[in-house]
Amino acid sequence: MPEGTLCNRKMVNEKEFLSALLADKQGKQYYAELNELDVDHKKLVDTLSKTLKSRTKTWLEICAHCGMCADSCFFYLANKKDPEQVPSYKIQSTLGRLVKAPHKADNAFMQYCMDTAWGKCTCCNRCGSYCPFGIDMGVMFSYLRGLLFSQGFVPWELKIGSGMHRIYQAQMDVTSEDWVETCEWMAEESEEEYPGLEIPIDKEGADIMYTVNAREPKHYPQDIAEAAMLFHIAGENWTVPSKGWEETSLAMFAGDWEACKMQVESVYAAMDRLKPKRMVVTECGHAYRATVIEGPYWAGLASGKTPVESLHYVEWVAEALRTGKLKIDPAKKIKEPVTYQDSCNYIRNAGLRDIPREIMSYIAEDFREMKPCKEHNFCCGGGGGMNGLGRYREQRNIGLKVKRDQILATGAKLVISPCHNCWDAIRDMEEVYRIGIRWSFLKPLLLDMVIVPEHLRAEE
Amino acid sequence: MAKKILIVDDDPNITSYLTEFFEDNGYATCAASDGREALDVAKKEKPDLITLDLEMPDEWGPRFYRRMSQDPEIKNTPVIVISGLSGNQYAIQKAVASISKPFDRDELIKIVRDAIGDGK
Amino acid sequence: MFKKILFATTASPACDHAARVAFDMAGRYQSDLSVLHVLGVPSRGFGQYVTDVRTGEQLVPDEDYVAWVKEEMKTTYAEQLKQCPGCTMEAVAGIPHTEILRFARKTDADLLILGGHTKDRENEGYTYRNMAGSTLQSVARSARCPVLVVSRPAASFWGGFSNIVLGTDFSKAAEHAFRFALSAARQLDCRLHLFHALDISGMHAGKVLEQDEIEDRLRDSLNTMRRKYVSQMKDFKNYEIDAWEGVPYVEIVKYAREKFADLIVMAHHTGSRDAENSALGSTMEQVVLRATCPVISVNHADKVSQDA
Repeated sequence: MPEGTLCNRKMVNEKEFLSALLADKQGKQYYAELNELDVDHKKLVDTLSKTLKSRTKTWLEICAHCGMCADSCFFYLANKKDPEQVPSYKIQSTLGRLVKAPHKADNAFMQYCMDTAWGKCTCCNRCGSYCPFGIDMGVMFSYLRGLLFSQGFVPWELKIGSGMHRIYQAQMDVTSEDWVETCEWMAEESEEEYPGLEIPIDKEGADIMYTVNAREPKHYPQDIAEAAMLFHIAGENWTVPSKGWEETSLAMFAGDWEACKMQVESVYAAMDRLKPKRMVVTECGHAYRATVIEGPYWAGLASGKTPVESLHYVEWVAEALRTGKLKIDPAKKIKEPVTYQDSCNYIRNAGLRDIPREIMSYIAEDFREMKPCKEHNFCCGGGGGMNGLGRYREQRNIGLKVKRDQILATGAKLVISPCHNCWDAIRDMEEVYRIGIRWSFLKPLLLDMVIVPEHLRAEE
Repeated sequence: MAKKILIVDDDPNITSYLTEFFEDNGYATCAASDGREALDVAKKEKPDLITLDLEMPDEWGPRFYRRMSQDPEIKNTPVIVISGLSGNQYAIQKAVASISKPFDRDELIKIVRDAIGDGK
Repeated sequence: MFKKILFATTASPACDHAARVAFDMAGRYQSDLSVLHVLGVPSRGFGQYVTDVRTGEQLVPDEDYVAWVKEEMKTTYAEQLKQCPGCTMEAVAGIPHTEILRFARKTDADLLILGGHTKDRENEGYTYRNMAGSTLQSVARSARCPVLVVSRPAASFWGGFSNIVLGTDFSKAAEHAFRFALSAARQLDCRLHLFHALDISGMHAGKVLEQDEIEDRLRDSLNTMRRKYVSQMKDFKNYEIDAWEGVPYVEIVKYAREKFADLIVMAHHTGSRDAENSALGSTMEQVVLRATCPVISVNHADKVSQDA
């Protein structure tokens, strides 16, 4: 059967296609067409032969079915230890079967793969840490997503998301002009409280180039203002690029490798153009992973590193506190019990686990770790794009229970969550389960606590 | 001499209805269709009671009431607010009463009688 | 004065009283009036979904949908539009206070009008309800132009301004508020009442002030008003000054009622950045809730005429 108008193997490269997808309420037509979508077996076999390498093959082969991955997976725990949620089962019944007999893959099977890859896994990679062989099922699910995407079997919102990155080089329809305009607006608003505050655009040779998540200019511009205020107080020589300013990657969640490459290249191009000493990324986990950890490989950079040294926001905060660029007023430290959400993408998947502890030592008097924590922490429940997928909302809400229980066990009423996805997941968790907590990014909390140097204070 | 009621309302239907109603009950009447006009009429006619609409084309009810309160000769004239707008009872604090359109005739005439007695 | 008004509305009965004031002002002062409705609040994660504020439905607001909402708005305000044909209607999706401020900046509004309060929003879902109260606080704090709030129907029955009360605590922000009030009084030919409420509510925990001391302070306040404000008024003579002791918001509301004020002007103050947490208890917010006339909050010097 031919491909559908909305659900097909075509890439979303034009605004018309994107608008048509957006107009389809909740993806109704899209999912109806999905049921008729056929599998391009020739292409599938071809893709596998080019991309399925020895590591994945070995992983699929050597699984000893020991079941140690089971308890490591929050979906397994949240779903009352349902055997079908065991990570090795999930991957073997999808990718495992697919690679053995790709020509047998039919629409029903591919949908099953899609529902597993996006509805039963957030690619948090926790299972990989607990498997005695180090088999990383999260990484394999990422790979599977890529295969599924190329065949057109991808959730509606992520098809849109990949289109956004292709067309706007950002996860939302925010153009360069919108971005620059918003920066100017936020600089104007903040100037009265912080005279001399600027948001320099395209300054060359700055110490820091700052990049963000598109939802900040679109819906939460105060976040940009807050970042500007903190850089200003810390006396940083910083800038934002007018192009290549967005470093998230719904394309990564979608499995659209081509769009992933395009997205990170736009940021690297900004680095090449403006030659900052370092790049700092806003409070977003997957953005850091996509742009800093995976990105260089997508873009084919031999060093495996970004052109310029890149920091997650928490690294910058820790450094600023350590060096005294930001000083905390002891009277304003957080006195109530507070806990910290260790996001998978910059803690477990990038090794920054000690940084949050350092930050908390400066800003909190009663810091309660979640159990488990650091690189052993569970996913917020909404990673891998799951927060935004209507089709799997129920499954996501069930998964949130694990995070809910972790937070309850700490006794804290405030959760610090320097990651847009985790922040959303915790907000949704509170909306569904009403356990009476508050949650926050780091920036607003820091602004309430830092001592503003004399020369920067507004006149009374 | 009959007690006199000044009817202030920009809707001619209401004005003629109230005029007839009050006259049937033995009161004399005069009318104005706007706050500005109403002040002139009030100063001239010195009514015993005023019924007051709130939203009118030029000068609104509360504004008229304010100017009325600044004129020593008429400032103590009892006022009944008759308005279709919700929240009207809070508009003029010192009004004798506020009633909403459509109003109950018996209720209105009782309020008038309580305020100024019978027509004659 | 009031050349470009932005009226932010829910386009529902909850904002009828604010609409009454907005359209009346536009007609009376020949202003360019823009009406903005934030039709939906972004819902899930990175999705393009918004939760429609009226229906609670989740949808992606495309061009057709926005056009339809604008048509609805024209129907809602059909009567008023007859008097105000040049008025423009706009509908956007987003976080209400962000979009209101963004639009105000874009249109260079010199007055923002907001109405209603959380009381009417029970059916609008968790997210929107949480936002409604903080919308007002966030907008009043960050707006570059004065913000006029009509929070009760009773506050909307004046039809124009002729008696302005300035509530002042002698702060820098109150200075901006004074200049605005004076400018309005001059241009619109109003009587200007300068009023200071001496706070004796919690002043000395347990200790009650002697009346002599209170009256000393009242006299000082009057002198401060003469020094700070009257001195700036030059040839403008249509004013009164007064100072009463009590709980500030109560005194302001009472004074305004007594003087038949049809406009109260005050300065907006805020401490915490977190609008959700700054308690609805500050003087300004209580006055907004309780006044029998519109209240204008002035925060920045930006749109306040310099030749006041």
